[in-house]
Amino acid sequence: MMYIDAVQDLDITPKMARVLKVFLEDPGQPRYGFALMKLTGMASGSLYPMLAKLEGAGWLIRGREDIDPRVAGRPARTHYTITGAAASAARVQLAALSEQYRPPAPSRLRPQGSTA
Amino acid sequence: MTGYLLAALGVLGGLGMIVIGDMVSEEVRDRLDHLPHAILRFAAKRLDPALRVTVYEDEWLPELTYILKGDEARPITRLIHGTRYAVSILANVGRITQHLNRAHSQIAAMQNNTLITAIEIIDPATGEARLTVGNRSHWTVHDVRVNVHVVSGPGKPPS
Repeated sequence: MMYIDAVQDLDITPKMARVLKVFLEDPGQPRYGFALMKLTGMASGSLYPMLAKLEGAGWLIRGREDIDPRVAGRPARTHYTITGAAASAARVQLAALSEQYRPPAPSRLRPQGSTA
Repeated sequence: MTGYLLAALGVLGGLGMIVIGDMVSEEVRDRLDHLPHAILRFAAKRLDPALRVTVYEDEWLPELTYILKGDEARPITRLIHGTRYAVSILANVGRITQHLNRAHSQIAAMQNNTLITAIEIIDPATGEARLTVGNRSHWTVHDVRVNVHVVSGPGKPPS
């Protein structure tokens, strides 16, 4: 039996990049839905399909908040953590995406009135 | 004497109004908290029944409860946040279901007998490789070490 830390290749969209950037700020940190909404500015209806896509592709792992619901007075929430392989892949792909959107260097302007 | 009586009645009346006002605002607050819950329940009814427990009960409901009961929750803020959270889910429940179904089948495919049809080594130094799963899904893996053990097989043994 072989266990591999694998991630499915994904086309990173700008919205997905916003979500991945939050996970990459601290890869070991579990992230919750409402906190991700606040950090990315995304609505729940856009965020949850994105999280499902990332989870299905092996980029995120789902977990449960470690609380006693009776003490906290509320049920334990679901959180997501980025996998090691996904963090590596995300860094590479975000750098490539950033390069893709980087504006070209300004061309050298000739001073007005000059002849040459 | 009548003046004192009127003043006492005024104080009692004022206190009574404060108590009633508190009770009314508590009642309104409690009822308003039901609005996002009702919207979320309605969204959950449109979910695939197989997903209802994992998605609604394990994810949406605890998150909404956190929004409504969290430390930062002020009556108006929590109502706005909670309602926005529930309405956005309701508006996109079809898309969420579609993505979740696809995600669950992908996870199941990787956990069960997944047929890896090709392995392409991208960088031998880091062990980065790309696996083709079935005939369409591509996965990138890191830190791959391949050990080949020939147990048995047809053909001539190596000389």
